[in-house]
Amino acid sequence: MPEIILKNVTKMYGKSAAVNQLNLNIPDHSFITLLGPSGCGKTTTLRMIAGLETPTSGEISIGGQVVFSSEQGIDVPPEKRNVGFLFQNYALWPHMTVLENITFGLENLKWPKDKIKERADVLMKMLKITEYGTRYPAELSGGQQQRVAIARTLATGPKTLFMDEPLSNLDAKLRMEMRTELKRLHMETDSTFVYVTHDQLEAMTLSTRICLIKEGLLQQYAPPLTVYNEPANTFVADFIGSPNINLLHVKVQSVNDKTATLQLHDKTIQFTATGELPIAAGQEVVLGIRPENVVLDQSGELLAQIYSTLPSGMETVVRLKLNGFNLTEVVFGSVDFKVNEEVHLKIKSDKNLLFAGDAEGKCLAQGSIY
Amino acid sequence: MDANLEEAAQLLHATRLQIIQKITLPMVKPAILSTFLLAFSSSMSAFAVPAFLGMPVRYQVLTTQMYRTLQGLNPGYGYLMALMLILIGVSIMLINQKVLDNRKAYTTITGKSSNVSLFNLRGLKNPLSYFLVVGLLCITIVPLITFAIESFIVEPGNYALSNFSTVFWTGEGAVDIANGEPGILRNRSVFNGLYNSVVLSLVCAFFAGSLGILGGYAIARKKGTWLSETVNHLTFFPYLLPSMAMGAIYLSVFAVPHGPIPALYGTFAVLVLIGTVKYLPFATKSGINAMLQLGGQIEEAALIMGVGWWKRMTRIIIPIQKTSFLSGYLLPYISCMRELSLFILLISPSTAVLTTMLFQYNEKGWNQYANAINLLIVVVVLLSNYIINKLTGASIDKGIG
Repeated sequence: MPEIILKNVTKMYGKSAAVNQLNLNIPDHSFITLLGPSGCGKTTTLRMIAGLETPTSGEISIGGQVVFSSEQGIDVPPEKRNVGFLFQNYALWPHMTVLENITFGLENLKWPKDKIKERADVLMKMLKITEYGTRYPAELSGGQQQRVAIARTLATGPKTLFMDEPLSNLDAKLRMEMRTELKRLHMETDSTFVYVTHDQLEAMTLSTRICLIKEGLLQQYAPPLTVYNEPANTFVADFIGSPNINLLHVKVQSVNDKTATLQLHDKTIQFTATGELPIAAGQEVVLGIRPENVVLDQSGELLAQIYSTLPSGMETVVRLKLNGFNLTEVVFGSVDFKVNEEVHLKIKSDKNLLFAGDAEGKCLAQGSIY
Repeated sequence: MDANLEEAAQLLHATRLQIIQKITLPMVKPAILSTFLLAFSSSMSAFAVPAFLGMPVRYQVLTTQMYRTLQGLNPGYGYLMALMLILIGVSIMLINQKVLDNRKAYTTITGKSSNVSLFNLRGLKNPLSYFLVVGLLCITIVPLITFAIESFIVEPGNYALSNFSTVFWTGEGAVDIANGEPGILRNRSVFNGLYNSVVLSLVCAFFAGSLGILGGYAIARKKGTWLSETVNHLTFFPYLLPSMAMGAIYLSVFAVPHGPIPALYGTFAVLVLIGTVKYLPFATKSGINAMLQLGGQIEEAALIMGVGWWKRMTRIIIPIQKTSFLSGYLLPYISCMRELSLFILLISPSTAVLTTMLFQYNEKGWNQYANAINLLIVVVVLLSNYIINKLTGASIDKGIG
């Protein structure tokens, strides 16, 4: 039922557009993340859907009902949109106990007393905060406060739940734990989640679809693995994935059907596309290689020098110098290498990418490298 | 100022003197300059002090001159002086703004130091402490004690025990003393003044404080918009007007009816009006601070659940920030209790407040009565602050951050 549709939504602050002509279709039961660097308009987008911010123009509908339309002059207030909102700093009311925080919304809806108690009990059990009912927010840890905030938001049973960077105030360990819990919660509550984050890993691991925004403009809206493997442009490719993708600015020497010869200074490599290859000789392009596709291989023709290594136990991130280009690779397993050592490389996989060399950096082709 | 800033210089082998010259002083310079300007401005517009101390030696300043002129036959001159006072006050404020607002952005000047470094005074420790304590006592407690003593002395300057009397406090009034004026604790007009003072302060505090909360709420919620900035500046405007000049403005506006504006001169309402407007800047500032400190999300969390505005205010915002808001009431209350120059031009015998009575006693040369009333005011102010502080934890220094 609560499908959310945004049509040409724009928000202007003075003369600059925080959100620019955004079109988005959020299906029921999905877990969508609005992802982007800070100040890209993702929080504004979320607040506009919730009704906490008024768009400059466009139309928003939730579950078939138009809740905002600049043309028809509709602006349904947030409380009538039947949505829940989880704030970045939790926004727990410090003068109320945990229980009072959770039940305040229900009391306001004039629920009968026994129903309120029942509902609070269920929620506190689900979020494992039963024993903290009489405590005040200041007496809880960050993770516990987070759970209380979730319980409070879920109390009135909203069909859609909006979350604005809810994990950014937690430490790394707790964040990991809360991620799994949020994913379970999404399944158990059977509602639509819209989640704002600047953490690409969070977006990758949690969502059914990622909506990547840059400077108010939608860059790509696709499932996580599609965004990872088939990024729409260099910005998306660079933003998703850690360590970052290798982006090498190269020149096309010649094109022969689906194979292009690319110039890396005085060396050349062959790029064979799996589909079309819409480039011409002499063109400037950007070659995108994921770090895990760079492999050390004695039979490899590429010769590189090790610049530095970052072993973390499970994997080692190696920074290489290849003909004046910087190249990052990930070697799985507990290994380390000597700095300044000469190594032979191969580029595996047919999922390497070729982007246009202009500022937009649109993705042109996918293929393998020899 | 963060002590780290000084420590950073110390680690680079700068001497104490160099640090003070090159780091500390340049950093606090705008603050010092600003303090200087504010002190200058408030002395410029002060009325009570020059009136009390200057009158016996006929030392006139702009404000006292203005008072005399406005009471006399040519009030036009007085209004011109009021205009001058306003111009001086506004230009000092503009200069102050210029001083504080420059590119080097000394944001730490607000006084929140994250890192304090202690300086070892060694042998100087005790002498310095005594010096400061004695100095502070001299300027705060000693005058109070002299007031108290003076209010018991019949013939000024004679400290013989026989010269002491409680006649100015509890006497029934004798023909040979001050035209038979009864002692202030038996004096109907003093009680009337006290009653007026307290009621006026309470009413002004109520209006200024409530408007301050609402204004602060509106300004903080719409922060960054043109409207919010305008309202913010407007609420601050009465701060720029010297009290005396403001009184003169109200005198000219309300002396006779102007179209729909009734002649409020001499009524209690005009005192309430001017008091409310004058203290609005403080109340609004404390309201804005309280709201900004709270942030928007805590209210939005309730908003999204469908909690109405009234309930959000009374159940969420006010309970959380009650001490800040109370300070927003307390500050106008206490300022109003001790305000003279704002009301002096506007009172009539029936609306006299304690401070204006004090001034009139002093003008007549009945210093002992004046001293006694002065003590009374101090006691009422301290008592009010103490009671509210004990009951609610609010205090005047909390409101203006």
